[in-house]
Amino acid sequence: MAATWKRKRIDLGPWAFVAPALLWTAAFFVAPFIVMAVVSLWERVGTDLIASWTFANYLKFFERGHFLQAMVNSLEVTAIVTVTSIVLAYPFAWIIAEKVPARWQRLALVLAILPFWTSYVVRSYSWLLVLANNGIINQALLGIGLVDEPLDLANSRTATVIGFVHFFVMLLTLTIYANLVQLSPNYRKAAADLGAGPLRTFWHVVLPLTLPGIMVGAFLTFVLCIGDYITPQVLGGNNELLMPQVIMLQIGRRADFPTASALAILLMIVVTIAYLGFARWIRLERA
Amino acid sequence: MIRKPWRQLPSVLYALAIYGFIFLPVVVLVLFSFQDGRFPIPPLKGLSLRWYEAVWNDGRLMEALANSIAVAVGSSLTAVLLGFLSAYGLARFKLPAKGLQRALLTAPLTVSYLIIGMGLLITFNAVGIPKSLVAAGIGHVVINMPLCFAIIYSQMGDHQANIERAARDLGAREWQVITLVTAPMLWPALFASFFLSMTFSWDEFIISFLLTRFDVTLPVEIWSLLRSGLNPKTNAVGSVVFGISVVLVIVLELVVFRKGRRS
Amino acid sequence: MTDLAVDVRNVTHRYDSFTALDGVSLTVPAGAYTVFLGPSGSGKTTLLSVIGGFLVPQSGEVLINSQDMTDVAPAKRPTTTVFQDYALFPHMTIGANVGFGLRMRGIGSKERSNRAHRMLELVGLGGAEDKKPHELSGGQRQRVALARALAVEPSVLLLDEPLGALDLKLRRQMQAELKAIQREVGTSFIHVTHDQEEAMAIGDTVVVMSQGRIEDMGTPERVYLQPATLFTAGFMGQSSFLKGKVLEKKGSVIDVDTPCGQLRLSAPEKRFEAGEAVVLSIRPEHFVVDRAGDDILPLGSATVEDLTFAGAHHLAVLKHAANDDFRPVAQMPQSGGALVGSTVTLGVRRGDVVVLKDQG
Repeated sequence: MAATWKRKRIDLGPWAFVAPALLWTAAFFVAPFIVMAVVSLWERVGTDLIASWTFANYLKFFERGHFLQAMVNSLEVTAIVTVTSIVLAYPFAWIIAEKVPARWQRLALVLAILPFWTSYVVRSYSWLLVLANNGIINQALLGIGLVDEPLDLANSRTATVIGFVHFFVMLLTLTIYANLVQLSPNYRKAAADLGAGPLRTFWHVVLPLTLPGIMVGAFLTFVLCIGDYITPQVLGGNNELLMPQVIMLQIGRRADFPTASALAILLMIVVTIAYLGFARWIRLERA
Repeated sequence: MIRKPWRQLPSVLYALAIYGFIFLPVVVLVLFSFQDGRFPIPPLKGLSLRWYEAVWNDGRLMEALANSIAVAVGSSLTAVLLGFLSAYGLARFKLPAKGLQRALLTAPLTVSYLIIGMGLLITFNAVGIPKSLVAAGIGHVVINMPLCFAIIYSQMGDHQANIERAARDLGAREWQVITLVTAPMLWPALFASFFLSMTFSWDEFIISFLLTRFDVTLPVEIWSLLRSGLNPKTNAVGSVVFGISVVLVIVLELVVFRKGRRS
Repeated sequence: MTDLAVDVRNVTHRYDSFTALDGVSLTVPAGAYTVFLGPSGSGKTTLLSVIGGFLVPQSGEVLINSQDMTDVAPAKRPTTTVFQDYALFPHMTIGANVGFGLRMRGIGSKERSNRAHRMLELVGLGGAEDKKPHELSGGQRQRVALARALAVEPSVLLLDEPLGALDLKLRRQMQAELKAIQREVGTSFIHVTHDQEEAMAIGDTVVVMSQGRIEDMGTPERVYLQPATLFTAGFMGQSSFLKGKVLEKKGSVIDVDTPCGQLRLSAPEKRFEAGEAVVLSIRPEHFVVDRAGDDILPLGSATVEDLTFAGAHHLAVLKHAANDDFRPVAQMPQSGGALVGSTVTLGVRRGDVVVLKDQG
């Protein structure tokens, strides 16, 4: 055994590679998170922050109706967006993967996600243009006489959902397409060979095999959607607020960091629960 | 090949409807950026470049554009460098608690930008670091480094390790292995992570919004432009940003994927 | 005494609970072609890594050209390695790949390209300098890896399953070329493989390994015809085993009691005691069917259970009449031999039987 120890070299070299990234993450991700957790237990009296250990900010969430309502709104909007986006994107991705000739598929896909690259802020603004009272849709509807008065499309939950769905249809088309094309054509051939028609092949073979990919996309949609501030802020109007908007209100208007921190941590807890459920599902699926 | 074309009709119609939905806002945005009038809404009163001229002459917007480019390039370079070094360290050396280190490095991917930005805001406030472009850049490195790390780490397999071993066997020192073999060999991954970081940083709003004050990035400046309501100037600047992003994507496609396909 | 290229002394290495090398000692003469042969997990690749410097063993010493190299980094050793996946630098031209080691040694670019060119000509790839690795076929990449490793003029070249990724035909062709190149440059080659045909075709010396130990070591002919252990007899080619017990020993002649009768055998080198359990190992081509003679030991009769056509001959699986457990595999003529179900008398030439200790 002595020889074993003699030759074990203690080497600090490897740490030199990993340390910068670890320190960066520790200083600008872990530390702020701890600071936020501590601040969430502080109190704000008047305009001063007082260091204390109280769960008052968390209790406020359950006591004040508008905080709880914002969380409910966020969950509702996110659920509607996730389901709608998958329902719209799946057939679209399937058409690109199955019906478009192979040499045009890449182009079809690049086109399908091109508006992805409009600036995030500008994308919501563009929908405002489209949905505004005197915007293109209302003018078209008025023009063909379908309605007498412009519809209140903008500044509503519908507008928020449309703005979100627009973004996530593109994202999900990409992920679902990637799933569909990596599916070996032999599965389908085997199913057809064994007597399954196109519909049954799809239902019993293609859909189950792409389900994990759909779930990954759905989870991504959930996480990105529930944490987004811009889309509801630009399109949603003043009737209802979502969690990120409420959090930003605490920071922006009132500089109430303790409440904002508590709300942010509650939002993270919701996302974590969703993640654990998702991870559990994936594990069960693989087993 | 397709015997009964009419049976494809539902597919074609569906695809066209979705393409229409996806492109509607972009087309409206770009089209009315040429509006020869004060409102970016129908009817189109004629085509003009006056709003692009207005953007060009808007000192704050142009400054914000320059700021955005500086933050994107600076933060992406940092993110790629740190991501590459940590991926190399973790993939090539014996280190304790590797799983934990990997989890820590990729953890920011699962937290929303709003929360990351808020944490940094509160912390910088407490420590006394003023709001600035550098502060926003630090936040951008936090969100982009995990991505760079994950992309580069995934490309450092056993085969690549063997290639580095061969270089060492032939007499290369550690820095020569990294500069002459590892980095050039992983060039597509490094390039892809740099460009991805660039586009994310370029488009990022909430962290920049929270962490900058006087000098701001382009999305933040556009945000303040939105307060003036519907304005063709916003259309023009949005179209410019869209154009730049599309060029970036095409460059990425040509440089990385074409090359990748050849080998 | 010839010079020793490599001298491995009592090397042991464990991965967690798995013992990859268990007190291995061996010497490799300079200028020879040595093959490490064994199944996967036998420790042959670990041993190569220890010689190449990619692994520092937990105990024992490695001497290369009579100098202790146990702790020395790969770059500082007079060895270079040809990797199984070739490990060519994908972003460099073939010329730059071959010249890399020279560049690391500070040799100017002109001299470098001259020597790279000479090395590429040696492996039959003259003029391929400006190509990239992905433009070459598997066999060509293999040659580039060889040229790259030889360019720095190592005194020992290590080849880790170098032909493993090639198809059978190319493999046999590359074997011949490897051997020719080794003769030409005179460098000591150490080659790891699990293919016993490759080992026999290419090696001046074959080192058979199993479970971290060296089972046998010698010329291919000696190892094949007079295997030292049961493992070697089974791994190098095919063998049928017949258990027995030594009854009596007279000089170099022993009488062995087997289920096929009492046999008088010569066992010149090995010492067997009376009463010792032994195993007789017989190659398929050493069985004699339906013939008798002075030098032929009769083994009784057997039934043909199965016949496989092997081109130049048939291989028969037999069932011994007196002993169900003895199912020898014997070579039969290409045509006109016995049919399945027929009974034959079996014999073997006295000198062809190898007597081994029964290790359990």
